[in-house]
Amino acid sequence: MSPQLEMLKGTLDLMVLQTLQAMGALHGYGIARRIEQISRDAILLNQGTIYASLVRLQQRGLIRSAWGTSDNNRKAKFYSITPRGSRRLAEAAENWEQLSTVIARFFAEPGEQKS
Amino acid sequence: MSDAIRAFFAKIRAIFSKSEMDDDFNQELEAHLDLLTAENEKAGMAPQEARRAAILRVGGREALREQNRDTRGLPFLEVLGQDVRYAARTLRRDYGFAIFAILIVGLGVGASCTIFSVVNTLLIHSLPFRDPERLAWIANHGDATNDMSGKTTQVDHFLDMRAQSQSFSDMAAYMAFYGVGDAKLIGKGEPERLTSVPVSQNFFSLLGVEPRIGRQFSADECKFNGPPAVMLTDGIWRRKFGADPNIVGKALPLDGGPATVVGVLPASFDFSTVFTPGSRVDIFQPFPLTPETNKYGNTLSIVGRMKPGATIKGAQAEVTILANWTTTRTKTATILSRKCMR
Repeated sequence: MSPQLEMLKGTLDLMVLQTLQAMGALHGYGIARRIEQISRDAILLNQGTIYASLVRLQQRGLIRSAWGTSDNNRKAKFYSITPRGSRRLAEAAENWEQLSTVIARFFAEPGEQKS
Repeated sequence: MSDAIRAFFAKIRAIFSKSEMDDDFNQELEAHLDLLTAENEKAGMAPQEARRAAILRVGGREALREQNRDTRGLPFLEVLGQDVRYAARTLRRDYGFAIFAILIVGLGVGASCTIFSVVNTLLIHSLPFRDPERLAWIANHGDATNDMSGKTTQVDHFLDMRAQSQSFSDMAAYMAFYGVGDAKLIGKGEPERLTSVPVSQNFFSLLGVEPRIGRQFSADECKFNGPPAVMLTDGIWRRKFGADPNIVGKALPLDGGPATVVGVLPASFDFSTVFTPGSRVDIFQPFPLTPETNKYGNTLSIVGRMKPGATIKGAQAEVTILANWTTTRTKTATILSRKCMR
């Protein structure tokens, strides 16, 4: 297992939104698995914590939920992104890209190295 | 609507559908565990082992439920609500103590309010009259008994002082021996006891108080047995007469006979807080300054308006001299009249 990454505030919400945007409706377990897969297990969630993020996003009206049936015929709650959520995701993604570019630039700056 | 406001309303809603949301979350968590267990079994674990691994992977169920509740609701408000309910239960269990405590608090608040309203009028705010710094209270204080007769003044003395004073541009008076609730309002509906204060004709004009509607008392109304007239306070005008703008000229059915309403005083004029804190005054009637009322003895509480430039010290000295002079003069007059009667 690779060392765990420390999560920045709000990044989990962003990952959940992006996952739902890319995959369509998913249940909590599916979202947690997907995040682990994409992060190549660099982020290993206590899978239950995903639900706090789902509650937050739902209360802000960025996702909605409905009970349905999973692939193996199990009753499960499925989440999907709302148009409002898509808009917010687009904004957040742009912001995130700019920020990471700037941060990357800082680390790329050679500077004076002490030998 | 912003995200924060949306979330706020969602949280409020969540407080009121607690058990449904708890059930919902439990089901969701069970489903998650089942899915994970199934996956673990597929990977070759024994059923029990698979279940155990799933629980470890998802996290403690109680902790997650707690987290879910805190995230979806307003934990602060809910804890506050619990505390209030707990306090109410404790008070109900020991209701004797609760009633006692409430009474004590009530008394405390009431007393503080009363004292503050007096302090506020007398010390903090200046008097609600025109040029209040030029008003002065004129009373006897040679009398150690501290009763009202010793502080008030007879009509003739008042008239003498008013006529002779150089420090005061004018003096006015009210009859201090009015009876609280002595004026009974009869006529339609239930009779009501009103408190009426008799005042000299110039009382309101001296203070700089103009009626909001109607006029001041006329000289005619201030004669002994003149046409009965009343002025209303703003309070009774609103409470009893529904702020009737056409009240002036109507007759007020008092038990001593009907009296014509000649004016309504403004709300800013509050006789009782200034002159008699803690009581309520409803109407004013004219107090004639005549030989007849002179016979009543000491009746008047006096307010004087000092001339511009007059000092309170000078006025005090002058009034002392005038009071002695008028007392001697009246005594002499009384003795003379007694002699004549013999």
